Amino acid sequence: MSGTLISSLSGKVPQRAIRHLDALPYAVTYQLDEDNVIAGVDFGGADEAFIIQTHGSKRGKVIEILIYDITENFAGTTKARVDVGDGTDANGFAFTDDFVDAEMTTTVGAKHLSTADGSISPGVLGDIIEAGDMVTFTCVAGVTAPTGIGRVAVTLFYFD
Amino acid sequence: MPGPTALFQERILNALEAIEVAQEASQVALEAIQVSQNTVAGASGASYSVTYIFPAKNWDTEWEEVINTPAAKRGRVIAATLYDVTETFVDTTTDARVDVGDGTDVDAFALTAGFGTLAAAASLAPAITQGVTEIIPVGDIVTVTGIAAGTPGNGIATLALTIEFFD
Repeated sequence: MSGTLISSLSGKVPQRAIRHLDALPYAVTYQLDEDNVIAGVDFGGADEAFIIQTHGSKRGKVIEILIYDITENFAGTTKARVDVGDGTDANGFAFTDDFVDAEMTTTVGAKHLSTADGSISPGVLGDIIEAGDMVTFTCVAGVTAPTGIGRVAVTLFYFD
Repeated sequence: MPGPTALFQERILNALEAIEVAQEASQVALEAIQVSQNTVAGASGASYSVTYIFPAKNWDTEWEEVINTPAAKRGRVIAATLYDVTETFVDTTTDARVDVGDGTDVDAFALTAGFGTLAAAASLAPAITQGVTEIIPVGDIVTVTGIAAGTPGNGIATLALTIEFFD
């Protein structure tokens, strides 16, 4: 990267360096709160979907999902998870492993899921989100007396 | 049966090969150390992006938040996203938008395109127009201002503002 080039310049950054900056990949972490009503998402209620308009100039890929600040233990016969889709296929881009109750308690506090360790799997559409695509994140509630509240942070990696 | 001279020569050759192998191993180790040092040096000089989340902001009236930027890094606004829209934006006399400034000039660094009639449960990544300064100087504060929608003014959403920081 042009860090050295840029740091060697004082004052205005030339257009060539700006174009270099434009070409850099970057990550954006979106925090999901349930309709801004509670701090986080209640996985014990109905499924909660969030729509994110991705950036028009870059492709993207979901690389991490973090459940943190767990304020209610997760439980339920069918487990909660997070799906990533295109608005038509709820898990077309990716989906997480089902949550494990023992890993999702107020004592443990947080659960990190990522493509790197395989706890986020690609969907049938493939895991590459084309530039400008709409993405849905669905926090899928558990079934049969489900509980579980935590904050959700999803990280998209943007690249050319 | 080889004679003593031949045996001596063979041992010398074996010893030379062993020295060569050891030298190669040392070279590999040295290269690994250099790569490791370069990685650490590169990490401290690397660019990175930070996304600031402003949940449930209300564009009925103008609002302002202040960001203290990281020390020793310059910055540039690269993206904004509106999501979790819980109240539809009303486009009357003025489009709601976001300005990013320096505390004196409200849109010195960047301003977004207007949000129009962004509907509840929708999302938007408005185009960014760089301001007259564009590059956020080291140590500057950054103001994020929600420019209110025109009268009567409506619109509630979460804003994610992404700034790239570099040396």
